[in-house]
Amino acid sequence: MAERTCALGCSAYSALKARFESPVAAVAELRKNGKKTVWMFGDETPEELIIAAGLQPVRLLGYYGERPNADKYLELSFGALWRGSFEAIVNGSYDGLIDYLVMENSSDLIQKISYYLEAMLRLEEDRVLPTMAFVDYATATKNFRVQQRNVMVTEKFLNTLRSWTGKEISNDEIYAAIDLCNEHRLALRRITALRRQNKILGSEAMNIIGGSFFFEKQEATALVNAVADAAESWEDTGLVTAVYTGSAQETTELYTLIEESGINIIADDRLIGDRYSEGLVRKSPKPTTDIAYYYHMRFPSSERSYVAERAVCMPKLIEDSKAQSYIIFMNHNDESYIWDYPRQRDVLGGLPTLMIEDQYYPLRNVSELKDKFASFAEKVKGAN
Amino acid sequence: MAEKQYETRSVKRLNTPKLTGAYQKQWFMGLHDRIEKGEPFAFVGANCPMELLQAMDIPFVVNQWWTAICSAKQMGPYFYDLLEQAGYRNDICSYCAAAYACSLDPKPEEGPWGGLPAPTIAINGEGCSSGIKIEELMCESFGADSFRIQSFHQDIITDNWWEYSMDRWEELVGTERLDFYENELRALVDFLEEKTGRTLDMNKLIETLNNVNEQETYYRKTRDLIAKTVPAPVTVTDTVNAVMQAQWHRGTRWAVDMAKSLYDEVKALADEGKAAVPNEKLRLLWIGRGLWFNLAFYQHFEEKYGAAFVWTMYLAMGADSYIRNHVEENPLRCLAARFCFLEDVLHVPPFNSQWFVKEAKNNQIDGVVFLVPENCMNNGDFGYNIIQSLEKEGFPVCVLRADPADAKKWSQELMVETVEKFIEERVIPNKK
Repeated sequence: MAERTCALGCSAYSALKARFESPVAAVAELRKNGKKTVWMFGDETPEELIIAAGLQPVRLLGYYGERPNADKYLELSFGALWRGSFEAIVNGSYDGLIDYLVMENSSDLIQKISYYLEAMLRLEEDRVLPTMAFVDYATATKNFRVQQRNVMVTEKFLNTLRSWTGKEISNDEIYAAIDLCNEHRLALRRITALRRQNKILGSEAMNIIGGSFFFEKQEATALVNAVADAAESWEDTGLVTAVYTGSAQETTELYTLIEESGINIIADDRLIGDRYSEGLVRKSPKPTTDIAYYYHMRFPSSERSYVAERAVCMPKLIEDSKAQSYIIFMNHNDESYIWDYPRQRDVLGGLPTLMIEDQYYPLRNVSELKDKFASFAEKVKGAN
Repeated sequence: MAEKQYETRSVKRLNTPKLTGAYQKQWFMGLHDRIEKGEPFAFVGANCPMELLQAMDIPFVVNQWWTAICSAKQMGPYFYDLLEQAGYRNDICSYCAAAYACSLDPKPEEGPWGGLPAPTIAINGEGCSSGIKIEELMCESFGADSFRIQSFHQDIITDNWWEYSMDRWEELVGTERLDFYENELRALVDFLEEKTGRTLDMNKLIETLNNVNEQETYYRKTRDLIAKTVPAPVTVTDTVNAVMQAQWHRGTRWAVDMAKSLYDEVKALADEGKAAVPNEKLRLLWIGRGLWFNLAFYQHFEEKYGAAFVWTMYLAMGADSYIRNHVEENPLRCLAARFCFLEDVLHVPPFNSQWFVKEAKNNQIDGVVFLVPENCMNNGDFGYNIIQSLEKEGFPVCVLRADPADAKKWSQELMVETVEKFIEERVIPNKK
């Protein structure tokens, strides 16, 4: 489905979309606020602390073009998403725009890339990279022992930020940052609700959510609320609906392809999707504990969770969203979902499900994929 | 099972592997009896601190070694097809999924050595996104209680780690990381005591750790002897089984005896001037997991080229990365310093690349064959850096992409051709 005029006619939407589509330009624009920028590589990076430190968090999006550095340095086990992230870090397209790089443990492959980058700095004399830190959260196992570890990791990161900025970071500053982020999440939840009503396309939602990562929080929240206000009156997309899981998408290419085949993704479990705004950081006398708890207990990603957990939460997401179908789309070697699915299938009963594996960037078989999605859309219509 | 047109069993030249193999089989048969009598049984990852289990006399099987046994018994294809029948894929994660596949076997008693008994407890790490799910599914399928050891990012990079590992391990691993892992071990001991009703005796743990140090010291002597002796008295096919079967039982006197027996045999051969490959002209180093279903592959190049595979990580890791002195000061901390660093040695750059270069030099290597598993989602050793580091030091490298566990996917013809071409076009010219 082509992007709709109702969306394109909304200036707030256009502003968000423009930033999401051109992240390098977006970061350049953001830097005009005079703050140093912190690239966040990993879904569970505690941006509240970065904001509290007076720094500007920026979501790392992969590089979508030729990836010679990824091809040179990375093994084939790094799927398309990780290759894009690595390429963006090392190919120089962000030179002069990024001051710090914070990597986080939401995938083991990020940890591996952190080791590779450290090694490249040691071994290649002319290699220039931002100052790096690693936030070593553990999120798969939900128990008190792991929670304690995550509090320790949060406090360690806070100290890193103190050393970077040379300033104390007070609890009040952290509370204020929590408020800013929570307000952003609440605004995005309005988008989530409108997606569920089939009023917003999955690709439009990506532009809104992803674009909002490239504004200062207050401005992002205002823009998202403006889009939500406008979208209340947008018409139903008329497409059959699906929940998406699988490899994270950082451009709208796949969702648009799916929409052109007659399916709207109305919910998903990815960061540039529902997952970012799910839950709020609470505020207690010890904010580092609150932040650690939030990132620990978030909606479980496939990369860092167990089959049993996903067999509960994914069917619940599908049920809550009232989606008519389920799509699992995996890049080559980003296929942990295949271990999740059989158990979910047992819970989901006869829900139409499409599983697509072994995909690459750029997509190698667009017309074949489109046929698969179109055929699946017909199946979903038939089942409803 | 896959039909093969080539020899997969290596020729055994030493007595120690026969002893370790026989013991292993006997131990495994006895395991079934122990479990039937109600003893606990643990299934653990290769990077787990199994010395605790040894000290508590809890029998255990190691996940990756079990895969090696299934593979060596040519049962990989059968087990991976069971996964497919259960709705999973049969072409990925083979090195970690064999035990889960066994749990789905309707005829488990027909598995290697009477099959894998159902474990009552399992100990695993946290890392690979697929690995934790496979282990979870296996535990659920077998009904085992699971303990997960958290991982902790290594942010201290030390050149020439092997100069620190025996005595200066606190510097190598870092105090913060060691504190963390020591606490993890305490939690693990609590778990084991609660689940098994057994109590860890600190003196027994000290004895176990000292036995490990003694055992690994023999591997160190063996590795050094092979490294300096040309032609080599043994090749990797002579040592891998003897080493790995005894490593499985490390901490016991039997394992010490087997390590000594291996050393004595290799030394006798060296003293007598006997060579494993009498026409040895080239010495090769193998990086990566062992080709358990086809150990004969390593011997394939001996006659035609006089090319001897003299090095794999299995003996050399024992030599350099297991020994931790000062056990009595704090045995849990000492154990933490060993097990948490095992993964780093293989997967964290430049620990791995520096070590491979050091070993290639010491072992008088002419060429390196680097097996890259193509169906492992968590494979990532900064292979580029390993290759560049070795090539820069004059060691040509050949990359083989293959599944080290599933014989069905192995192309003998292609792999032989690739290594032969490498020997002819890069190793021999480089030697001249």
